[in-house]
Amino acid sequence: MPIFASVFLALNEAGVPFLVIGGHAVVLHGHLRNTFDLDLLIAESKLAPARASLTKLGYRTYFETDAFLQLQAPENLPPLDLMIVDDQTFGRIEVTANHKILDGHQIRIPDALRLIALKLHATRDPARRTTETDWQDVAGLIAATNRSLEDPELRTIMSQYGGPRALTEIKRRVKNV
Amino acid sequence: MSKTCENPELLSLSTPGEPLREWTAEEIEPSVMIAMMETVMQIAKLQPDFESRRLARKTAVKFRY
Repeated sequence: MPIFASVFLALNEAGVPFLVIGGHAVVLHGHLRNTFDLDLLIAESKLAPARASLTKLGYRTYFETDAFLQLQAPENLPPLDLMIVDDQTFGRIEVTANHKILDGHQIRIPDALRLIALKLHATRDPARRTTETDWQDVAGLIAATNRSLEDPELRTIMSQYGGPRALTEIKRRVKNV
Repeated sequence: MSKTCENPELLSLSTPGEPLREWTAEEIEPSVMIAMMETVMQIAKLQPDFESRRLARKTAVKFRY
């Protein structure tokens, strides 16, 4: 039963560019795992129209910071989070995005390296209760996209977004995915 | 009365000893996995503390690239 189509249509009609991130993007790159919500990346200049269009669908704000908007879903629509980034960041991720089909709609997801950067960023938040899924996602994305751990661009992203322990954490998990 | 299967291929399902993720990756297409996730999502959101559990997994630090 497709449940995402209404969200995609509403954002498209409101002129809000978005990228699907989180578990769905990870699965669409080929690393299968479960998730309980739909995560979308949007530019902060599009937050107001995004919020207005989703409110019309019946979504209610549960919690928000300048980094994300957690929305409570009405019946028959998916739990939804908007990750908010500055317009320049959105543009830099958008430019290398991959096109995929989700619920019969063409959507875009960050390419594997940019998605890995997003995942590594999440591991460094001290307030985050658990980071194991993020590390598993990074290892899974590397394996699913047949990327070498010696890849210079991957090494740069690991160092920049995952910090000094990233390589060790990833190596430990890559052989287990 | 027990039945036997004439085609052994039909019985080649994973055993508990095999890692679930490996079995999932080999046997399930991403599009099927997403359809399963949609169903799980709709059931999971009925939990009374669902939104607070989701909130605990959020990253409050803004991402910059």
